[in-house]
Amino acid sequence: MAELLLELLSEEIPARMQINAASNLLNDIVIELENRNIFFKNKRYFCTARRLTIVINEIDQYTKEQIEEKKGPRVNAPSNAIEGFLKSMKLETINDLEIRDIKGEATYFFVRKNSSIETGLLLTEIISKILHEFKWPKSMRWDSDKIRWVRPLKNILCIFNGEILKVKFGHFIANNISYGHKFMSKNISFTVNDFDDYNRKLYDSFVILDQNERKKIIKTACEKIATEKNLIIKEDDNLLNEVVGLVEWPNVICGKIEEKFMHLPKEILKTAMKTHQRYFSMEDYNGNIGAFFITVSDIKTSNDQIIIEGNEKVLRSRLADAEFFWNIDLKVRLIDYKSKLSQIIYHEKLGTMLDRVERIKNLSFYLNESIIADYNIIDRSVDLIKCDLLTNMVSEFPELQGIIGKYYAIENGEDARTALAISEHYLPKGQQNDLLPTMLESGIIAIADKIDLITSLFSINEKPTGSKDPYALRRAALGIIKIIIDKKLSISLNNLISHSIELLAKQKIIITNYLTSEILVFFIDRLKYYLRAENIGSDIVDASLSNFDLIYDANLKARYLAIFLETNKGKEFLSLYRRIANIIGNDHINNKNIDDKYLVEKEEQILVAQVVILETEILSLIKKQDYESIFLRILSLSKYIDEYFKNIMVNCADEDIKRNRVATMLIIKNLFDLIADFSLIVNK
Amino acid sequence: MSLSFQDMILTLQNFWKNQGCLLLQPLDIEVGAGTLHPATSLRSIGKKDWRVAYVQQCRRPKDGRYGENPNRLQQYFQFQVILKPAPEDIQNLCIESIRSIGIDTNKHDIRFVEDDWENPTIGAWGLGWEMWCDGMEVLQFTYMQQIGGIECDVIPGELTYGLERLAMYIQNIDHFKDIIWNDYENEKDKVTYGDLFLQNEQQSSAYCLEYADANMLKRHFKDAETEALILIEKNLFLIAYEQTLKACHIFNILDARGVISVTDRASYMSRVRSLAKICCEKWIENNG
Repeated sequence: MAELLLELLSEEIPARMQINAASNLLNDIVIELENRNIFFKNKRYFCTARRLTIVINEIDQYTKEQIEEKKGPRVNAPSNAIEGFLKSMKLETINDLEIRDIKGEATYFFVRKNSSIETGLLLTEIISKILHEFKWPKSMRWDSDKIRWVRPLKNILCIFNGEILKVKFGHFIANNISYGHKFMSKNISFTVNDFDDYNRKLYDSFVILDQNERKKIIKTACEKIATEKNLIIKEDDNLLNEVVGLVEWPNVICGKIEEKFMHLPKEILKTAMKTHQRYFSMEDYNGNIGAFFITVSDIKTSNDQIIIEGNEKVLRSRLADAEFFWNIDLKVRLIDYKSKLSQIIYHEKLGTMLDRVERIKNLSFYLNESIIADYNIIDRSVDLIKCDLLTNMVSEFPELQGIIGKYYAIENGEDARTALAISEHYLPKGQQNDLLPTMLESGIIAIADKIDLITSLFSINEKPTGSKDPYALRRAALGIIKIIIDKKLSISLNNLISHSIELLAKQKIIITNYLTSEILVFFIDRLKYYLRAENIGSDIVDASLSNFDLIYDANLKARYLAIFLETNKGKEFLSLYRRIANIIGNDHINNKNIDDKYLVEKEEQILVAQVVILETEILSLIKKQDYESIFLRILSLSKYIDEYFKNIMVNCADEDIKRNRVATMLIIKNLFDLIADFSLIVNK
Repeated sequence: MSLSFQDMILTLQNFWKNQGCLLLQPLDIEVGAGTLHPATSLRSIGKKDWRVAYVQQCRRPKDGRYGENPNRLQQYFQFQVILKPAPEDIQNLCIESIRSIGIDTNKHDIRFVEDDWENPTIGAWGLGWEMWCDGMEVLQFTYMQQIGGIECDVIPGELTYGLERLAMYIQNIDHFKDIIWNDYENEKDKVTYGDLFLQNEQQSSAYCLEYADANMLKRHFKDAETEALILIEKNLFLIAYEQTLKACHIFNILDARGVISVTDRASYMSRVRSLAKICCEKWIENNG
């Protein structure tokens, strides 16, 4: 039982690529072992900024002897069949073949014994091949080698069963040497016997090999600092993983943010710290940002204060920039930027940002006609929503658009709701904990903004494709759907789209005939996606969307339908529905006229009477979107249908009676179809 | 006492001279980065070895802040180094070079943080890092992969130092105008960066952001482009490259003036890029 240890030492690997690369490298090797039936016990991968390391233990030192068999033609088969077989097995004569008796027929067999090979020899070839074919998201060449790697390689270490495996890659031949921390050990080199030896010598030269261990060290140290300062650190796994990949010997240190910058909004402080500097920030229990930052140094010195001061200085310049922008931007009132929006082109074919703002306002008022939120807030907010795009701060931190506008509005003394609407109109942003606009006013503006985005870009044929959606139109449509459902808005999607298109037409933007239906189809697709993501089966989703113009209604219907069909009674109902549909079959009968004179049986009369009552009730319940009651009511009808089928045969001899009975079936089915298209529900 | 600005330049020049770099002078045409100097752009493609170091004054019209932002300048100095082929110990040389200007790398946190560089206007890109010292970028280190759309046969290492930022770090000051340019005995002999360049920074910001004549510049762009194409026909590709750089700078001013729409920007950039591409191809044809 042998251990394989492989290390690829290079110049710094981008943090975001390390884990995937190490894991892929391990997988590639493991697959090759498994394909050859070579067993092993444990497999692990490690990565640092400079290394990818693989260790696999208890590997079979020899492959198993393998016997390969291939059945050929019968001995008395035509000669060209036998020749063909020999050729395909790359043999010369039939003397190389065995003859076996298969069910009384003498048959040729080709049998090959693969003798067992030293795994070490195999691995040398395998690893070399894997390295040559290894795929990085971005790779490069360097010096005169033809090989590609993410960054220039420095050394390859490869030991199997205590011996060096001379893996070849470019001009590199693997050895048993590794190197310690670049600065703290002055890149000291040492020879290695096995993984434990390697790991220990790395630790002694200030390298923590295991990324999980570094992560734990950093996390613990951060929490300790936060506790000491009576602050909390919010989870930020992305930043943490990146920082883990930037250091081999994490030294977590804390610096101060200068008081004079603390008046800046916390989003600005956080972005300045996180995006470029990769600092962790902290908050107090009220959500205010703490006047400290945490960074992870890759060196521990006798006087870390020097490093802290260096970092404080860098942060000071970044915040001085932000402070500068803050002051210069606030020299102008936010509203005064509005007229300048005529100088920003929204899109070459679609006019200016000012045009767009005017359309958004028109759409917001249009939506507000039925929703009745605060007209004045909507009016003022729309005037301001895109103004911050002209500020220096947003040029510097484009990810803060909307948020900057909110703060500048507050500084200008605008109504607090107006300020909030500016930042909220961008929601939802398509992130994990997807926040939605909290106010009705911002919800309306958000919908107006997104629908204008969608119709305008569709109108110039900038639709999303399978792989590309540069304007994030899918997210925009999904956003509209989520807002409508969240705020329970009764908006006709069709009318909204048409209105939006009308506004574009007024600005002389060319509209094609099919634009409205194209966009509707786009929305249906997003609504289906939304409902499926809420764990509603796709057949139920399809059944509910027969009339989806009112998104909120479709959403309610789908949910209740899903619940209904889970119940036993619901399942019984479905059988009844199918039975009725089968009876009607493919006869495209339109006869829904019931002639009372031919209702001969008691059950028929009762059923028809019930159906008539139910029809009016259902129509009114649908209007009220009371799906709970709707499904209860159709369940009550099921009882009568059951009785009917127990005693009545629809396909009877008498034509008049039969015609009546089929008409009854049709009326019932149509009634159910008003609710949902049950024929689309899949048999489970 | 930390190094003055001019001594910092002298020290870096000396350091790289000792590594076998030719010390060249800056290009006398407006450029946005030291990479655009033919000593980097053209020499990075083709098979010949090449080591140079030079100062390059760079202009980025969009970054003008009238000299009021303590860290942001429209015109600033880069120190540019090309080592082709990139030597095996190039990272060490980077570290040594900043030791030479007074940074004790055993007391500071030095790291290489992923930053791939690209300049789509001349069809160039490379993979590399920012070298950080206590969280501050001291230099950009790139293994160039492609220029003018042409693959680099021999991979050069490009090092670019932001001299003002470095000086502010070493001299421990907070505003660029306070950078000390020279050594002095008496206070009255002290010359600062602001003494030399503040007025220029104010006026060129005003020019690029407010007063530049957009229509005239658009005409000039067309002229430079037309001239470049004519010169290429005549196989005067080096001079065509100069015209390409002029066109590029004119575009940068137009962009700073805010008179270019999103689609126009893509079009301007692609026109400059195709000129750059042809110049690079001609260079290779003639110099291999």
